[in-house]
Amino acid sequence: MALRDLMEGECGRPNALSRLTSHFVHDHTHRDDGLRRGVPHTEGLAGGDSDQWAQQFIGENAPQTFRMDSLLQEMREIESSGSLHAPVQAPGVAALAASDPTSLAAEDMAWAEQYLESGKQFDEEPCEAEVWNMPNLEVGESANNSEVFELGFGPQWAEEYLQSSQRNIDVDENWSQTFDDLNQGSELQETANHLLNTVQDPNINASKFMKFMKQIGEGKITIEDGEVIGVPDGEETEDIILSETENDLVSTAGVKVTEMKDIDSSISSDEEKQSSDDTAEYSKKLWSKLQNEWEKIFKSGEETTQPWVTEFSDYYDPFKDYPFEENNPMKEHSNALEEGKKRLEEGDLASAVLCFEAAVTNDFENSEAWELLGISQAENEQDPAAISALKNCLKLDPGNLRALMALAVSYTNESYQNQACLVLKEWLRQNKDYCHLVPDESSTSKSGVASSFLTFDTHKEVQDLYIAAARLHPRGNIDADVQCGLGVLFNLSNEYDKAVDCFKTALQVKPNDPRMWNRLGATLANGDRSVEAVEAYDHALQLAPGYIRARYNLGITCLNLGAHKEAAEHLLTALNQQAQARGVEEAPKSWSAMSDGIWSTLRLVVSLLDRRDLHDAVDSRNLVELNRAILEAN
Amino acid sequence: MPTFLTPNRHGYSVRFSPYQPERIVCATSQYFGLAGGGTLFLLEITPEGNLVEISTFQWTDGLFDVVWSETDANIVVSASGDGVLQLWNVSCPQLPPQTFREHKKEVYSVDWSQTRQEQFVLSASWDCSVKLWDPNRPNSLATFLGHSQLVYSAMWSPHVPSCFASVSGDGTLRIWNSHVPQRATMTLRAHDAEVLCCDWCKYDQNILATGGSDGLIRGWDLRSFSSPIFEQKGCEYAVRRVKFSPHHFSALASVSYDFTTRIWDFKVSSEAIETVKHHSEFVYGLDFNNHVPGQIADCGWDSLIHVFSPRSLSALRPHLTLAPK
Repeated sequence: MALRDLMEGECGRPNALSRLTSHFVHDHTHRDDGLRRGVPHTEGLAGGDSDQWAQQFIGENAPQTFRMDSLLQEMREIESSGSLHAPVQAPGVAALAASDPTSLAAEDMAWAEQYLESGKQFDEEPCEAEVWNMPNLEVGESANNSEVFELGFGPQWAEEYLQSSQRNIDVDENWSQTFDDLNQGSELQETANHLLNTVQDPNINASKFMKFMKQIGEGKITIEDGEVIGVPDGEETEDIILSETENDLVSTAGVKVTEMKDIDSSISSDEEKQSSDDTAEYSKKLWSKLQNEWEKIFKSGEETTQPWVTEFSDYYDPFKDYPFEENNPMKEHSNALEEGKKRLEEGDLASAVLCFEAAVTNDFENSEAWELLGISQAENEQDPAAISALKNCLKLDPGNLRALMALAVSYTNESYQNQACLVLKEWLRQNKDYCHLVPDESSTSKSGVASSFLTFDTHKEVQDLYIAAARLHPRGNIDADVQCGLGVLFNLSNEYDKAVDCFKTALQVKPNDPRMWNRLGATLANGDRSVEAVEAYDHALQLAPGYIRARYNLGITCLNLGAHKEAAEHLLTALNQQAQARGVEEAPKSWSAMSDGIWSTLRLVVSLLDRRDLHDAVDSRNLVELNRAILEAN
Repeated sequence: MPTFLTPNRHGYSVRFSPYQPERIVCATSQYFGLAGGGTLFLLEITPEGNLVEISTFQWTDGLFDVVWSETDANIVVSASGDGVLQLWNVSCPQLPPQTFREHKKEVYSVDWSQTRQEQFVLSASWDCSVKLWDPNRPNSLATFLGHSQLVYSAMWSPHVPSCFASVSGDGTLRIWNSHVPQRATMTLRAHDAEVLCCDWCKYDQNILATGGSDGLIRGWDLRSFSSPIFEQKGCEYAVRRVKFSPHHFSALASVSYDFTTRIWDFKVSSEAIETVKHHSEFVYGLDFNNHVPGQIADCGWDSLIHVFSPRSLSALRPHLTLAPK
């Protein structure tokens, strides 16, 4: 029941309506707050426990939006508490804020924040503060304590007013506003009125929901025990009895208010002033003390988070460390690099990868080994590993054009499109033929966020550079790499037909480059020209039968064409080729040499083939079983 | 445009069936969800283009969210204000639902696993917790604590099994591994306001969007969450629900307290490519039809449920191929 807790007197719990209110009361001033920036909030690496999180929470939330719900909850607490607390309570709060922050419940912290924010408002609400100074007085249900104290009269005064105020019992707009200002009446009405006052938009005010709120605010409707009472005809309701007592109370309280406002200030001003001075003074002190505490905490928080921030951005590079294969049979090989090159020629990609891994393990500074490793891993359908290897290569040899181009392609595949663009730009810059085209700028500052989201501007800029580069070479002297780069760029912006033209042009110059054929095939497939894509892949595989990536792509394209059986065969062949590198047929699950991508696609194909019996085989990567079922069952 | 009126009931959530493209279920509450009971409407789009009611299901408290089962075309799970989840079999409307009672406060969101490997239900509640349920068992499997304020929504990732995101009034977006309930895998400050909704991109496993009570929709890439990768501005009030299109990589839809339903394409612009204002009260529910590209349903507190196909979505090219490299 949305409002049951309100009725059942559980203090300090926001209710559904104040929840809604909080969606509207949104303080925009925080936008100008410079304190917020530069403090990313994450537990990803820190493995934060609740203490640490609480620290960060306080540190960050000091300049928080105005928390309506906690304000309402505070007011409710103040009203509903029969015995009013002595001022001694306040220092306790400051002490809490200064001491162990983790002991604070979220609500307490919110309350403390609210003090910080509402410091000025705090001064303007003398009635709240006065409550602490005045002695206890037994008053009736309606919470008009503040007014009574202010005038220094006892409850008799209330009764006198009741008797003398036979006029002005009508409930009109004015009344409900002043009513709201002094926080009288039930909490539900108070919340409803607050929402009404906050929402200024005439469109929203005209809605039925707002009319409902108005009725609640005016006391015409009330909600008790989950039932709505007092609703006019047209709405489903069980109880049409008006809540008499509540209405009376509401109207008399309202009357007192109106009367009070008419009273000349001469009667009350002196006492008022004196008491409000004291409390104002007190509250100022309290507030400034709290603010100091908060600033201290925040500053220290900021300092401790600063180094963490930089550490974080440095550390969290997903491709920093190359994921080496643990049991590398090639590790002991005397000249792994040469062996790797040989295997590459033979078309045995997976073994070549292992050779190159061994080569770099023995010699970390060998940029050629890193480059070959990266390129081979990419062809082996292992882009994350490829990226890592290529980055290492570029660290040692920043001008390596082959590595840069391969890195751009791998980034594209992994959806780091922003990075891909930047690497392509770097390729131009490093290329002595075209470096004059690239404007000189501090490239590192704009290294940008590693993400899929490619800003239009970056892409356009790099694209223009490549087009300019292509124009430098007239028809007869095409630079296949520039065309390839341009093709990748068009892929990034989904202009597939243009990309196809670029790759076809590149192929005119280099007709026997299986990688180029594969890229052409991929572009065609992405552009929904699947039949032509198959032809391109066939070319690639004729030139390099061990080209895992091309075979995988062929599998996907067959899948798109609906040729599920062929797709399964191709995928399985690719997986077999990857497995052969070890000469072992049974594959342990943790093999990194075999691509997860191929496995998950195979699973999809198996489902489409309606071979649910093979699901387990796929999940456990049982190649023997799958070969038997798919390849040998013809 | 097919429309349905639910008199005296205010729509909170609407969902298309994953099995039958013409079926919709809508969770509604009486008295705007503040009091009274709730009703679940099962509707169907007729070939003539009308929305007709097939059956209704009543509950003693307001219903705030509903989701279809991914394994059975007749099962729906709804979430209500008394902290209870109800599992209904819509083919037997006379039977009472199976109930799951554990949350101490309103359950504001419910979601069914979007990956095939597991079939679990996730519920997010105003008691600041998220719970994991097996629909065949009456007790929850895990409770995820960590949010300091009430949790508005928890959504399964459609790509990574056991991964889900939750958003809360404390302004954070948390990513969880359902096997590790002790703490969230990742927390990030999504908005300087309450975060009311979140949804995952259907084409990229790293991207998700959040909508806040500041009227902004922010997109996040999990690999670099220090700042959002896109920010869509335009809603004048809180964004109540945000959903990614199942047919286009960068298309999103949102519904808001400013009575509008907006379509966005984050690769094109940070402003809405289409704004539809066909409700006269807060719009609360939103869903894309997985079977009919470009079709959307939305429902609001004006008791209306609309099913329509925004022009801007049909202009976008559907992104149906897997991406070869």
